[in-house]
Amino acid sequence: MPGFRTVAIIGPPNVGKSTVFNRLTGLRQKVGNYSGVTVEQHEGQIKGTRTKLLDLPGVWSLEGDESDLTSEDQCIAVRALRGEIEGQPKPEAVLLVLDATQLHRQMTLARQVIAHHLPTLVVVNMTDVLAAREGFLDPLSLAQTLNSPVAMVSAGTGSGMDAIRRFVGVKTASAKSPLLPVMQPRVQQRQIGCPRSMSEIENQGLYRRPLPSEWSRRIDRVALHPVFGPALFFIVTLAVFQTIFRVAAPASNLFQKFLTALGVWFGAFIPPGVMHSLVIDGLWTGVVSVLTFLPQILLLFLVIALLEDSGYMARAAVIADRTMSRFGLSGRSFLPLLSAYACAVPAIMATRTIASRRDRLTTILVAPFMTCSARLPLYTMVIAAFIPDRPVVGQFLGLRACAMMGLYAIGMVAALITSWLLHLSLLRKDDSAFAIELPEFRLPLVHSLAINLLDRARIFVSRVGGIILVTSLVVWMLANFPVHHGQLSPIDQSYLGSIGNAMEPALRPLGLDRSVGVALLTAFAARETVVSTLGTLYHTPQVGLALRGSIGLAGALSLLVFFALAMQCTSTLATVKRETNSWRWPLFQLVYMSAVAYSMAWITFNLSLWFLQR
Amino acid sequence: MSPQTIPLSDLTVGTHALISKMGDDPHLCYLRCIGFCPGAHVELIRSVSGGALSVYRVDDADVALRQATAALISVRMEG
Repeated sequence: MPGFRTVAIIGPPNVGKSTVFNRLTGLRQKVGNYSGVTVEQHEGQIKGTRTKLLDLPGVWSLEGDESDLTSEDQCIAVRALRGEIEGQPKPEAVLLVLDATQLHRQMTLARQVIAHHLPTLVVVNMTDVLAAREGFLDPLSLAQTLNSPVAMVSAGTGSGMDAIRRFVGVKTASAKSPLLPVMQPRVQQRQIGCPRSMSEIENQGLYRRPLPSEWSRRIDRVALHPVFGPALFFIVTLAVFQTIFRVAAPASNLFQKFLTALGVWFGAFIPPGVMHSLVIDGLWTGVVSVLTFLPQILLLFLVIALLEDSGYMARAAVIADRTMSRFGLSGRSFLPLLSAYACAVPAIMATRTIASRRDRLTTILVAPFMTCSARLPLYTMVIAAFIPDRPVVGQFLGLRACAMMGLYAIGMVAALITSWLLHLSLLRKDDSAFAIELPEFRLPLVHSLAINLLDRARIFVSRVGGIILVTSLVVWMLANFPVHHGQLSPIDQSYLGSIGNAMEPALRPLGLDRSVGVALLTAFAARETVVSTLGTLYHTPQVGLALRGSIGLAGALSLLVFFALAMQCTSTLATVKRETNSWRWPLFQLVYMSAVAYSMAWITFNLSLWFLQR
Repeated sequence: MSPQTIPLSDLTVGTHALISKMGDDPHLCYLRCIGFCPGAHVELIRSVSGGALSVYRVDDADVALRQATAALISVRMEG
């Protein structure tokens, strides 16, 4: 069997399509326990074949023109299946992924997909969950009803995946096993008396719906309780920030000591002079000052992944909807905004799940206010340097965790106020509808969490080894050039000194010095580079201590507020341009956020000075 | 609206109903896809956020709707 050249994975949202995709390709597409995790099509190659596999966003229906489809991610899925995406061949076959516990709701889509007359394998996923909750499905009856072969799989555990590989034409070790949960290759003809719908299958005793997940409903009694729900939400948030300081900070300090010692050891092999200064003071110091924050970044992503995979995120969206609706946003905006805590770029892409164009645009415009993980190194460093490690509520909550939470809150409040202003002015609209499915709670898979963290570590380290290393090199050169009589320039007479001098009049009202100004400028390459630039400029990876000697507490608070609110990410601006198809909105964002950041930093600096002088 | 039918938003917690009519609002398209169709059984599970949202069970799935959205759906009370 030669196999298909292009196969598309399609199905409703949150049925495990990306998990199937990852199993077949060996790639690490993001997965989560809520609708809308996949918002664009992804490609991979099925292991051991030349077959291209397309992972499409979840859809509930293929009918209607694009104006009828509920959101942009669904348009993408439908166009891909129809072969209407430029440069993308029409799929030759389809893997239709359905959730074994929700089959009765998914038959409309199943029939629409099969009506495309492409070879289709119906992949019934989560069969382990179906069995665990005492459900049952006779796959032959489903195959006869849909007139397509059916594979019973559990993509989470990997069971039954060989059946899919056989369908796409891959030889498998167990291809002849009679126990494979796949039906005959094609049900040629509907037999007389075979069931026509899930109701008939149910009535004939060939499908038994799973028992409701009692413990999931018990958790919902707390998670959605009018009082306990918001309280739980608050406690979860608080615990995240406290953990960052209590658990990750000691690991981070140890890591920094190790890397610094490594630099000293390595530096002994380089003779003193320009090369030593470049490698140790420039590159190594810059890299170490950012790499140190790897434990904090990983911990943040671990907590976000735990919340996503468990199904809690959808509940959090429900809890947040009331507040968000008062500011002109819907609960649908909550999940993209929450994912902006990791990075604004995927968050802006995740707005494709929002059907209302105005809601979507508002969410895109406010998402960069949310505190992305690239801001974390500066926050952690400045807080550790300026805020005392004092308990606020016993040992459970410290002052530093409160300060960190305050910074996250500043971003959130700025996003809400901006949304409200947009709602009243440029993007005036009626209240939009809001509906969100609440998936069953489930235990996150250790395998999935580990992959997620490994990927995050790889991305972070590759950024440090890429853009941050290059920025450190450029900053070192600008801070030490031009060369006079074979000697490097002192910082005052360097190119960077000139740039800093030019910026100083704008920085002075905020209580910042020119080193900080230059560091903020380099943040446009990547936000983390602020710390590495300061490390390079101050010639130490202990940037916090150096800052204490240069800008003081009022300047530090002003720096934090500016950094929390400023739009300093070229990747985000480029993504906004791509998603809105116009330069108008990214330019608006840049000007608006810069103005807000500067004004609020000025107010913070002057208020802090006033308090400190009292 | 006939006397037997009420808006979905008027259901009280724990009561069951049959969906009798869906409004024409384009936003309801998504709800139709996930099981909110005429003839479907619906139960109000709980109110959230001071009644601003409600969680309904349709076809064994729990779905949270804003009150304004639920008001676009007509239901007939079940015995």
